[in-house]
Amino acid sequence: MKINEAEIIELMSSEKSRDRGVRLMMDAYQSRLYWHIRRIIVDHDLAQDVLQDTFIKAYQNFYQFKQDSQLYTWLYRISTNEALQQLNKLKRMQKSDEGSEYHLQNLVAENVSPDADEIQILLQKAIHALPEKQKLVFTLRYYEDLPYEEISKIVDMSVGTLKTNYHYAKQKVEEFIKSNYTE
Amino acid sequence: MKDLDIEKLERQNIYKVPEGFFDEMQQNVFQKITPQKNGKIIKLNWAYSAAAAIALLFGITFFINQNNKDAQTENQKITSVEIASKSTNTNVQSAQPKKEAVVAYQTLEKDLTNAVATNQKENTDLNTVNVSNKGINEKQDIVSANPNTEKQVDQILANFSSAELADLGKNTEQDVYLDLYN
Repeated sequence: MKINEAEIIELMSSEKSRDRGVRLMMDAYQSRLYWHIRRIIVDHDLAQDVLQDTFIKAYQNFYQFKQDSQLYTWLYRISTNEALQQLNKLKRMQKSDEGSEYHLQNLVAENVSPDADEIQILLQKAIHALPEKQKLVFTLRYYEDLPYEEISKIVDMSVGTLKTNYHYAKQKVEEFIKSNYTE
Repeated sequence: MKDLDIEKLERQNIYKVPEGFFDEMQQNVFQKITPQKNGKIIKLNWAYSAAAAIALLFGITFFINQNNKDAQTENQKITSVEIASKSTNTNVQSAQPKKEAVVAYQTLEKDLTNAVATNQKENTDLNTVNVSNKGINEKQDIVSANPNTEKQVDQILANFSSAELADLGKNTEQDVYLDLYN
């Protein structure tokens, strides 16, 4: 992954090879970023739009990328911000946090594949019952398995706060699954 | 369900995903990136056309001004030629066979000389000190030449009948800028 990243950065840094760099960047990160976004906003079409905008913004603002941080961290940061903007639009439409929470949980039910486990479905629903910060920390740590230091750069929180938030998020998710599990 | 530890669960992506959408997404990205490049070129064209427009504006203004100046010198030339034809000792007469531009230049110079001369008249003391101190011959020439030309002009004007003078007055256009020198 790191060799790939250095190559992408080199290609993106030159005007001539920038398009090839974008192609390589998308091939390398589209899947991880897509799932990160999809877990936050659930709807596929919206997730695809956000992913698309993420790469376009990365292309347009590549000069702002500080090469002392990882490229994927930067991309996660852009996609997280874009996804949160979409969520806020949704909240404005629903006019309350609770409204958007139920809306997202209904969306989960509509979007799961038929062979999905109940626990897995409940896990996704539980994520949407979390406050925004905990939601981000939880998905980035639990699914992406990112180090706290990297997550700290993505969501602008200290490592200590992140650990606490993750701890509470995990507890809430487990409680949600236990209390909603029917089998 | 009492001993649930989600850390032990397999990380699954349980949502339905349409096939081949990454290709579609990549195409969309390139579509949005490419028009931006064209946009940049259009921007450059704008800059060029703006620069061209400004250059054109300056060019036209300069051309018009140049034309006005030519017309002015033309007017002056006509009067100076008329004057010259009636007097015998003026510089202009000797300049008559010369090229038009030279004549025009001399006329202009004469006007300027007049201005210098009137200035000098007003500050006669200062000027004589300056001239004697620096010993510049040119200035002395100008000062000594000036009364002669004025006399000549008076003579020429005296030669015209009042009807002729009125006629000339009709033809000449009042020029604010030339007035500065009189």
